[in-house]
Amino acid sequence: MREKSGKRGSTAPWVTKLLGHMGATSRGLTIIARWITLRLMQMTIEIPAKLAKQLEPERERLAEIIARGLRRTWSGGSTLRREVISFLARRPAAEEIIEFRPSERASARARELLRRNHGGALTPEEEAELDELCELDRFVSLIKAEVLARRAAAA
Amino acid sequence: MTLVKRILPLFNPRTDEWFTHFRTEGGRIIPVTPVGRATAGLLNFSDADREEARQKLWRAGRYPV
Repeated sequence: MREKSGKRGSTAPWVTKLLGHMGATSRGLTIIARWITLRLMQMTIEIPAKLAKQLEPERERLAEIIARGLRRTWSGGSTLRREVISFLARRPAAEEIIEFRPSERASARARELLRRNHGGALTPEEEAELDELCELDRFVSLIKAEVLARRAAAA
Repeated sequence: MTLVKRILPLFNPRTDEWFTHFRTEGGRIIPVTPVGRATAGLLNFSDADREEARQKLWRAGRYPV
């Protein structure tokens, strides 16, 4: 890791000067300097060539992708998640699985999140919720596809 | 994937013909035009879960529809 300018942990002269003018305490200075250092940090990482290739088109979004990866799973638990859990717990028949649809409430929430995501107006919590909905959508799609494939194989 | 800095329209399901821009091999969607490639890349058509689901639907005779 290295910063764009200066040695790691060092404070740029203009920052020291500015903080001096602000009458910052030495503790505050350290914290602010660290924050500024972090803001400017450049990082060199080694990753497999395949991953590098995937990341290439996402150059501008690397920080966002890393932040997303670090984020804990959405802890709120979406309506859709609860619906899928209780649906599977009822031991549905193959036909019922194929016919599974989210409730109107869950669909409306998904539409709302998608609409606001389009305008780039989601909070990190809502982004995590939308990620969870996408994940559930894939999961349920896979289950349905598997049921259809098994039914076709048995026929 | 080769990146060419060119602005392209995306596939529009209302006006474009699907099989003009894509063909399928089992569960895989293979774009055959620049428009198809841009769309497939942006919307991540080759996502592993999606390919697996399409592969299963294909085996069940449900894909492509």
